[in-house]
Amino acid sequence: MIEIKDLHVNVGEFRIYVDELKVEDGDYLIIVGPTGAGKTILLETIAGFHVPSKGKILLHGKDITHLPPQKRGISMVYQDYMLFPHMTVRENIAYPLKVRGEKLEDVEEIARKLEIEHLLDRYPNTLSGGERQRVAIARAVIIKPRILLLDEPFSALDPGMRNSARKLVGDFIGEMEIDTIHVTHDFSDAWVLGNKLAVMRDGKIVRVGTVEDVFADPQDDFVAQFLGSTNILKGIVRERVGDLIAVEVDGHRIYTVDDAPIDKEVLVSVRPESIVISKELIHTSQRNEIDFEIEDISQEGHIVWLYLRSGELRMKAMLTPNAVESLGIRKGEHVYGSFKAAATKIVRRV
Amino acid sequence: MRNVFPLLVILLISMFFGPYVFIGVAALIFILLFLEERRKEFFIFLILSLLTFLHPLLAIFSIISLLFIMEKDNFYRVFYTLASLFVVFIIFPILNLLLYASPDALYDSSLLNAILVSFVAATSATLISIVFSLPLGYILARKDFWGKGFIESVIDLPIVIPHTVAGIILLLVFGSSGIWGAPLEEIGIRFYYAMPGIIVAMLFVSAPFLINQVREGVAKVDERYEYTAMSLGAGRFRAFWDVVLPQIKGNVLSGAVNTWARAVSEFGAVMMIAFYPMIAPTYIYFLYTNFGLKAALPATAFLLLLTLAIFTVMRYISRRMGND
Repeated sequence: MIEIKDLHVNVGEFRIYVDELKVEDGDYLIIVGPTGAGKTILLETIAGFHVPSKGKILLHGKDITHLPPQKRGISMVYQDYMLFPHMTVRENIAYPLKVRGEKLEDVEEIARKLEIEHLLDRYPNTLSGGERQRVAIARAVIIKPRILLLDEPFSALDPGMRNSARKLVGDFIGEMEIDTIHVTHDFSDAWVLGNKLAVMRDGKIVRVGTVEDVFADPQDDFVAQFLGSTNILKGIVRERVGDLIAVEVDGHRIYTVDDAPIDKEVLVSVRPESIVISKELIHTSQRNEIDFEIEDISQEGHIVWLYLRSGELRMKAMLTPNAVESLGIRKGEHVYGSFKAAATKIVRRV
Repeated sequence: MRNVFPLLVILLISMFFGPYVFIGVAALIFILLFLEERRKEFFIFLILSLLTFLHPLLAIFSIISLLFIMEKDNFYRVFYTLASLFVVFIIFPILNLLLYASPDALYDSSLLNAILVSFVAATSATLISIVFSLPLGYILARKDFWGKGFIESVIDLPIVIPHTVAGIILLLVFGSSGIWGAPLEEIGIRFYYAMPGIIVAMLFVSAPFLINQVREGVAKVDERYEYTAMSLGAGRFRAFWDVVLPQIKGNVLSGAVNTWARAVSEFGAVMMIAFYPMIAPTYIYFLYTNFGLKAALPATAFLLLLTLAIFTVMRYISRRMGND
């Protein structure tokens, strides 16, 4: 457990001020925010690389504000991993043990769990991005830190590899039961890995809470804007229909190809650009078709946003100005919004 | 087609060793080129080389003919010519002196003694400068502070100060009645006309090479490597030792080689503070002023040969160790 109180840090041009932030035992806290928000500096301060000008950091109730980094038991993994180039993978992973004068025994086991066992005698510059990342994580957790700090761990990977990396790393950290603070600007990290979510802007934490709460109720224009445009719907899995499952969301049935156990509460995401708008009901393979009222229309450059409502269910759809014109739709009218079950993802099991 | 540049250098050098050497070298080059490519133009080069029998300087015609045969681009013709002339300017005098090398020098015990003093002093100066250059170079690379620019220029000063001036600067403080020299002499460390004086003079003029190398090396190592090592349990010293030092090994080695080379070749500053015990350059100067050029040549040639050999070996080792 780590607690931050009234923390002021000045590093060069950066200033951060965190009123209060708490990571409970078993938490996986995701911090999102735009570039330059001070996310990395916050992590570096928790790790002990910067001395705060004011405030306190408590680790399991003990004041560690002025403790040097090596005595904190907090491991940090940077975005570009910082693997020591002159050491092999094995030497890198064993480094925390070597420094402490402990026996070098868990290296192989941890390497096996992270699927890097075959790389142990290679040097970091011969590895791919994903391999480097797993080596960095193995090195950071081999002494089982009290807190693990991850600074955009997936951003250096190809988009195609991110999902599998996220799953492997998430499962591994979960199994190790290490409290984690993870800084990112990719929201998928929050869905898949986090249970708490904090939003940071201009050196301040502007919103913090469970992932569901923050997404459901951003409480702040900036947060809402930053959290992006994806429709996130909370519902309960009701039944299985062939290959699909039906999720009940605010009285509507929404079908998805993703799997989840029946009666489970889930969050479902629908990309606004994948919603097809029509005036007539058209039976297609789209599977999900809902009769909406258009609450509002707004244009941003070459994008038009439709704010749709059906009973309690609210969704956003994205169209081009041409499409809006040819459809001839106006505020207050009724339209059908349809979207494929394949474009509907379960992002999280609550 | 081969590059003509090394051939130019070889031919230009060999023309100063008389017509037989030049024609021999020219013939060898001709055979080599002709075996590779049967071009009739090469015969022009070979025939022109015979002109050296008339006058040694006429060799230049055959060299120019080879340049024109092998290089069609005027830009490279001009640049190769100027570049090779400069290389010859350095190599020929050195080779020329080596002709005077003789095993007799090995029987000159004063020379061997002077060489020993030189090597011990230069090695000590290098080791001392490693101890101080690591922290100084590190701080200059990592930290910003008021007066940093000033300190950086001060470090480079010994390179521009005339060496006799540097010697007098040091003599003033390290001399027997100097501000530092007097109290140190009381506890038994004497600089004036003694080994510590030689080391101090060498250190003063040679340390900048190492400091600058360390600074450049550290600047290239991301500070976050140290942060990472610290978060993994290493203290600051340990992080420096485990993570920074291995990554700047190449810089430290090549800086140390340059420092050693600069120290072992120093004469002016050392002579001012300690004419005795004689270092090798002082001994050569002593021979030349007391017994004339001819008497100094064997010792000089021997010293040159030894220095070249050591420098080559050290360069090779430092590159090998720095690269892996």
